[in-house]
Amino acid sequence: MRSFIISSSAVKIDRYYDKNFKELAIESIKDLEKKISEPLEPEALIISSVAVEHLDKQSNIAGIIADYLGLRNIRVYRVESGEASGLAAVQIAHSLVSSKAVKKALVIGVDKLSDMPNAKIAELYSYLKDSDYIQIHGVSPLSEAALLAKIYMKTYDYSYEDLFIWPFTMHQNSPDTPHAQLRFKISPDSYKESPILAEPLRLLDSYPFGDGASALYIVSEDVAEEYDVNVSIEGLSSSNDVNDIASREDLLIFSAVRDSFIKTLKMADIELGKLKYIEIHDNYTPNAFIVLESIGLADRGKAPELLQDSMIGSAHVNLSGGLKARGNPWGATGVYQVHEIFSALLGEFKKSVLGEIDYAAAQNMSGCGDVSYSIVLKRVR
Amino acid sequence: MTKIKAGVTGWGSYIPPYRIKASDIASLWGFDPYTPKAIWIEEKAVAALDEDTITIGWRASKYALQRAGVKPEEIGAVFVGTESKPYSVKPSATVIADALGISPKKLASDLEFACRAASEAIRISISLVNTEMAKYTLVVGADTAQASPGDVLEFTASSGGVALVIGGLDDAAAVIEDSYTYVTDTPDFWRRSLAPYPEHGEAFTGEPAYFNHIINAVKGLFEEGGYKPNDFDYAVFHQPNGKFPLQVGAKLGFPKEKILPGLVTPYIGNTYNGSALMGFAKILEEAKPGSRILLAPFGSGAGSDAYAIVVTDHVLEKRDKAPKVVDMINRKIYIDYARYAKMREKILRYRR
Amino acid sequence: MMFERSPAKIWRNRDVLYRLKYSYCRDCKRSFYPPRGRCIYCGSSNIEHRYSSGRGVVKEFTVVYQTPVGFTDMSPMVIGLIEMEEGFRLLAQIVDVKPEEISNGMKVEAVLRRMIVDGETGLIYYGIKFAPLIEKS
Repeated sequence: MRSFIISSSAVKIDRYYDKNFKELAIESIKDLEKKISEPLEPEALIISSVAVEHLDKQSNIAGIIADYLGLRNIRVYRVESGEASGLAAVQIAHSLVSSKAVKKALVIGVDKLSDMPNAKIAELYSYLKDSDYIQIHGVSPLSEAALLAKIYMKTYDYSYEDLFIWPFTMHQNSPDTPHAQLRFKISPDSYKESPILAEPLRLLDSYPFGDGASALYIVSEDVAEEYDVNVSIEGLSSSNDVNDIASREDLLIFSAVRDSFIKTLKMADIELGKLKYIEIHDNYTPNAFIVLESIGLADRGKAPELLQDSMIGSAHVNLSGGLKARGNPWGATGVYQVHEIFSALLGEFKKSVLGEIDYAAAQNMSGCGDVSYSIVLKRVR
Repeated sequence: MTKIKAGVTGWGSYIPPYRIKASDIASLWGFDPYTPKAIWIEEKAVAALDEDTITIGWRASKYALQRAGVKPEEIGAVFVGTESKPYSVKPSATVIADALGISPKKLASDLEFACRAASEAIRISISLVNTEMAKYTLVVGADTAQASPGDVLEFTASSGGVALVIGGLDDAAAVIEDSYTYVTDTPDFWRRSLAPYPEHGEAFTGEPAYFNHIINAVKGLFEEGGYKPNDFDYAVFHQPNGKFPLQVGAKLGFPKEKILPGLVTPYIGNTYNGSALMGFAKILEEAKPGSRILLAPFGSGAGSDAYAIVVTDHVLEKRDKAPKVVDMINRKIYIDYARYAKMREKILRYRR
Repeated sequence: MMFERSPAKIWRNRDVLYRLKYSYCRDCKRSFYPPRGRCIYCGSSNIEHRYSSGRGVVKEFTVVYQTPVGFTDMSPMVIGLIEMEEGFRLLAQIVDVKPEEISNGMKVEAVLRRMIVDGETGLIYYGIKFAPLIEKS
């Protein structure tokens, strides 16, 4: 059973000191509402947020946002699956719609990383790791990614400068992404001179901390038929790996990314080559390359060499600027990705690069591939 | 004479690698540059921010168990002598015991008698072993000693620890022949319950405290056991600085050649409950079997114990089973006063 | 201010954190940490728990400057990928050595250290970090 996306929207990722979680979430659906021809009356509201209880001392965020939206007598859910929460929320919406439990579901991803200082955000990010036995050692996805960078560089004989191709490309793409947090280009010098986070990784190997919210309206086929242009969710799936990367037999392939992508393509019944546009989860530079290689867009160790003008194989990747430059407001990130590929299929995003395309995909994970979700969208009309 | 049937089955020590030079402390606080030399202190060991009496005691205990060749389940009591407990209420001994796999069927407590608490634990252990209430005990003397910045104590107050497994005579590396204790109420050094740093009577810590108690304890041992200074190959005294042990030794008739092998404070500072025991551990790593050692710890408040201890052949097979005191004295990472102030939490800040 | 970290959590985890309790799979003969009831490699539940010797080797390491709250005292904090004598690997801090003196293949031993201190009044979490072996001088 398919479900359909008929509208989406996103706020520019920024520092919204003047807005709370609810206000930012509600801000994000204004454009979405304009693009539909009927009153916004979802039967389900699914909120994706990673850190609302820590940053806002708030539980039941979905019920409270529904209240502020004036929605009554609907199903409300809050979804949290680490950094992959956004696509997890989309998956819940799809399940509700395709199972005919509801006809219309509103997904909003929201997080506000500007609400607290960096060291606190770094602490919350470490919560992605097993708190009993891994996080307690001071380990976070940052230190894991730094270790992966060193291992990647040694195994495939790259220098640190060779990694620059990723952040460089992301910052080439972001300036004309309206909702991107960092809309500027970067030079090799600014890369090498940016502060070290965990050697060898520097600030420009990571994503900026910011506030963001993005929304999707996911509906059943009969509702979608009333719209001129719409997009179907053709495939979506997820997979998981051991939380401690130290125990992984192969550190340079994210098996959760690989497996969820294979399952997603199978469900969509297409080959990888059909995808002309993919948004991937590049929380750190080495992870971008490992994701591209895990998906199969490049052979192992070849992603830095093969990447040219955002293209790898037959696909454009991260035209938004990716987490690196568009931003990574945690629970909203996966929703931003789907907003981007949906808009691209409608010809409203990066059309000068992509032209008309039929299929696009997104991949959203937590940490270093601890869990990974993927989705394939198809333009129906 | 002796009724003791106990010995040191294993020993271990730990000295953090960080060192600050006494000259740096003298310079910062405006002491006469000769001051460190006057009390003979060259540098002192400093614990890292993530170390405390429990972690230092654990490390020394781990090495002591390695040398003892005793299974953790055979330890029937764990005592931690310290004046720098990480918790005012909550024992250190329980953490060390559980972290070493020592079974719940044990005695365990922290003892406080300034620098002498671990020595009291040795005497208690002798009783437990002699009465067969415990097959082996674990005695830990460890401290991260505090000193008010700028106080003369700061030259010597250091971090380190020693652990001894006390057991019967069969597999003892050293046999405790005899012991004697001398304790009075002498207010030479103290720290009130919520005070961060101790106070002391300066010169008053000398004659009526350190010298009086050690001399009486050693003389008592000599009288009861019939010993003379010549019966001992080594003498180890509590060592609050480099000078006092040589002076008290001279008063008791010991040449400095018998004292210097066990004198470690000039190089690592005074590790308080580890102080005399560190010198004793070092001698166990160097002395020939058959050597007799005089061990005389002291604690302010005040009291001293004197022990006559004879090294056995077993010492030879145990020595190389763990790092030695001399290895740890020579392992150094120098730090300046700023880093020392950070590591010993002497900078007012918000904890993050 | 009330303590933030659970006393029950520190207590129930003490065997793992103090003594490096790990899992050994009797079927595929592999070891892993943290201990779990099922083998992460073959899925078998024929598992036994064991305690590590504490002896390991550094396979890789990184020096972390963006340290999370709770670990800022250790900054720059070294996180190592450590392979234990028993065959399992874990990520843990490496202490008592300058980063420039660490090398892959360096032997390390498990040492008990303070992991996290809960504010001014809460509990002290102890656990295992790794330090270079103390060499004979």
